[in-house]
Amino acid sequence: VGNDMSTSDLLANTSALPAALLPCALLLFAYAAARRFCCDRRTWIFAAGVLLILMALGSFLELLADHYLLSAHMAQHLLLFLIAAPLLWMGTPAELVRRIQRLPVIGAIGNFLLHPIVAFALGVGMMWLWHWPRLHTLAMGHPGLHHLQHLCFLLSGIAFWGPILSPAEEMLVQPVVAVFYLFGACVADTLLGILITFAAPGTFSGYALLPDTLGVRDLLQSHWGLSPETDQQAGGLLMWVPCCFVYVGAVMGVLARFYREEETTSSADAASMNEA
Amino acid sequence: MTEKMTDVKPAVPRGLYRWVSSVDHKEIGILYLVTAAFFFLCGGIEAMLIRIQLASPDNTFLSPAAYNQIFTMHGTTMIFLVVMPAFIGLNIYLVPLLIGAKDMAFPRLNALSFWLLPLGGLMLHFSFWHGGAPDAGWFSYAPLSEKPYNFYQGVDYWALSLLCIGIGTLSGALNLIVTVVTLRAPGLRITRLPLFAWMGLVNSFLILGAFPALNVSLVSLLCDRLLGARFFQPDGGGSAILWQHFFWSFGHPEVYIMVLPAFGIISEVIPVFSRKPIYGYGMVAASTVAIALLSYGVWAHHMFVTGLSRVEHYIFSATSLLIAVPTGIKIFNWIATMWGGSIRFTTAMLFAIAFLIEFTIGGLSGVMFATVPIDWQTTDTYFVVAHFHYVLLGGSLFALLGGVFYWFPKITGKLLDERLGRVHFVLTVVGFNLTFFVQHFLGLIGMPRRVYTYPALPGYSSLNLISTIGAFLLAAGMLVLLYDIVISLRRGQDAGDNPWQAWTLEWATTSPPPPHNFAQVPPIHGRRPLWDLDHQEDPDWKAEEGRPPREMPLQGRAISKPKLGMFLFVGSESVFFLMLILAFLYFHGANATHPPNARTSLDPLRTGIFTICLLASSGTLWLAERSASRASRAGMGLWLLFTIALGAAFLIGQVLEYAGLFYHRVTIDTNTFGSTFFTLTGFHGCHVLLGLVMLSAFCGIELFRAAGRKRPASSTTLSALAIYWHFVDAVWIVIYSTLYLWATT
Repeated sequence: VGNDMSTSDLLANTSALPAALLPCALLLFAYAAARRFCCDRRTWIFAAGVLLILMALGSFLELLADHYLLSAHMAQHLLLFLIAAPLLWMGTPAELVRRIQRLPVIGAIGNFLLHPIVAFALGVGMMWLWHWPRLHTLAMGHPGLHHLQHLCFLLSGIAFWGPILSPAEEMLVQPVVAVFYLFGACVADTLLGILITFAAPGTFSGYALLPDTLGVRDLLQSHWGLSPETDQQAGGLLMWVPCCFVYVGAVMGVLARFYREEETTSSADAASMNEA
Repeated sequence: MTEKMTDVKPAVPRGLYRWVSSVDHKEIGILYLVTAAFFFLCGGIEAMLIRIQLASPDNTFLSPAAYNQIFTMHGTTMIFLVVMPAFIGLNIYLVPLLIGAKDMAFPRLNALSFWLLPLGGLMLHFSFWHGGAPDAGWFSYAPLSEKPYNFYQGVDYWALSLLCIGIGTLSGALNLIVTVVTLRAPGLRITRLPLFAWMGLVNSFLILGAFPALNVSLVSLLCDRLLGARFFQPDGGGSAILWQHFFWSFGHPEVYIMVLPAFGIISEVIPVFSRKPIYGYGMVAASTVAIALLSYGVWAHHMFVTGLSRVEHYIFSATSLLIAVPTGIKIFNWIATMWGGSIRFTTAMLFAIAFLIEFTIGGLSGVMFATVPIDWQTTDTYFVVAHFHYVLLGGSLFALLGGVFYWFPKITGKLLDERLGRVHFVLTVVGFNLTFFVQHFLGLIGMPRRVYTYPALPGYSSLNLISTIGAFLLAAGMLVLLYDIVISLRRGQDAGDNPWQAWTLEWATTSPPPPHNFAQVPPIHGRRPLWDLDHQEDPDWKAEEGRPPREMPLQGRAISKPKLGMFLFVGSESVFFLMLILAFLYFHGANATHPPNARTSLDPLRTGIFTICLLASSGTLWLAERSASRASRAGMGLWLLFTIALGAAFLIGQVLEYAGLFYHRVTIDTNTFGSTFFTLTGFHGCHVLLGLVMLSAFCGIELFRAAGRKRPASSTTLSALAIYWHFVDAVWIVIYSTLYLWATT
């Protein structure tokens, strides 16, 4: 049992960093190598995505998520699924996506996972599966499972956002379908968020049973005001509301693209009709 | 051309019978509008009674009991019998014209949607002769609305009539969506829809998602009141807070249901009278979707004083503030549309401008309410009354009046008198602001709402008197409108096809339009087909040139009307069941230690066997569909009979289960487990029964046809039925795994 930490000690704690640094560095290196170390706008977006993964998995957030707070777990999860994964897509040029698609085994698996129905089921399914209280509690005390959980969130996030954000246009779903796709995910998350928010106190009770290795439990409860009940509610509400903001924002993006398309094609379409 | 058309016109019934039997969208739209106007008169008289009672302190004009009934009836009438029917009526009249269609997708369903409205209205008002009108407010907060506190039948009539109106509204919304999706004229892509039709479409989706929540609230309340269930009675283990969650999860989207069509009207009126296309069409259209989606996530701001947790306060405050963004975008778009235009100040345009100002004021006080501490200070005071009247009267009603002046010539063929229109406008705007602006101050100095009178405190008397004087001016303004309508119908100026030189399709046909709407739909290459038609040398699409042509993806596979309608119905029903399941889960924790509960009363194994019957029936129905697509009538009939038998077996299982529970004294009034269990499974059983009736009817008709050797029925009917049946099965899988598998462990 460590001695008590202050908030600034906690925020500056880097004990989770080394474990996260290696995979993130590898990912960035693989990306740069695949693009022959050229550097443009997309590179920076991709790097921002990787940086967010590093922040989610290598900072104090990981410590709290692992041992103390459901709300920190949820924040981490949302960073990976809703922000990092879309950034990775936006940072990848179309040729690279198509090159990966043409790879023998990986390409076939990728194409299967990126089929809109599969991608949707995977995204929503992972969200629901890992928040089943029993499985969540199991993953808490088990580092291997915990890492698997993160990997699932990131990969299912990448699959989920593919049909919406892929730079390769042939992979995209139609705008109207995309609106329902995103709204469907929003409803599914809202439902799960409502269930967690209004669940009986102690549904995610596992955190209280873990040893207070960092000595911050007192800090969190008395200074941050996050009693176990508040923490559970905050976790549910994070899943429910900010999550949906991202989806609504994405719906706006899709519609903006849709209306832009109309404005550029209607002139061409009318012109060709006039000629005929 | 017109002569030829009159030749082929079938004999139309005349007089009252014509209106009662009509399935024409234009006549039904007019019926909606006239009904709304009639109830507007009722609700207006109630409002005047309220203002007379409040004109002076310690007034005894109305008794406390009468006052409670009247303010409840005023709110309920204005929302469900005036604003919504008026907007739905305008949508039903105009949307087929705007998209170049002949009628709605389901004309007879359209008539049903309408006739449920007067039925509901009559039922609501019948309560006056049956012990007294409802008196628990338009929101019927529990436990005040529960039997021990509200013994007369008023609230029962309230709930039944809203169910009736709600079902009509749902079917109307469904019809509108199918119409817009399947019946658009060639060239009218979704991205080219007139904004009024687009907002009608989005609004209809909002209705499909929100009204099931109202229906669940109402049936639960009725179960409480009539069958002794325990949903919302705290002394029986129920939760009054649950009522507020349920009601406001409908009630807040409802606010936007009453405002989105107003936005649609404004988006048509402002461009036409500014002689400019709308500024930022895409922004206006997309922000509508944002409003619709966000509106589902803000309801708890009605509940900031019910003891929600701190976290819930933060989150719902943030979402409520956020919804101001897409609304603000729209306001700026409309202002930018007027900017630099050559504005014609017709009465319609005047109301549109007044809408912008009054609605913005209402929106600003709305942002104040999203801030929790301000809400704590001002909730349940006249500040709230001022706020929502600015939104609903200064917002929705002003837009509606603008719409009346704009489309009256199209509907009747006569222009409304503009001089009288201006008098009406001035009286309305002055009266409205006088009535409601002072109520902000009344609220800030602490006058609570919903009270029948007040003592002569400083400021109270004079502000209330000003408010009452304003109300009389407002009423006078409405009488001027009525006079204007009557006189213009008698000897108004002929409107011609397009009196405002507008650009959308409804102005391409005669005023009023012929029964078939269009002799010929003009070609559509953009968002303003009539502009392109009149300005062939300078059409809209030329201004947008400059990019290379690009392949457009297909707009989606064509889908049959019955199938799409059924998908929408099923989607709406799933919200209904979802909320009943949430009610079960809400009480599950508390019931775990207080039997009877799922563990003591439910038998997963026996019900599991009957569940397999139901699941198998989905398989047999699929086989029936396959036989139908292979034109094998005998095979189809056989598989249908199997399906019906399996469904009936499931129902028998449910009857046996109920009998066992009743035998062990587990009924709907035992505790919250009984209430939620029987309501949920009972409604599911009703759905199975309805499915059986429909399948049997279909089967019977097919056998009859086989005897007469007529052509086989179109398989779309069967596939629509199949969607319903598979949905009922899917719902049961969720219910079974939640109630019988999860809750019993």
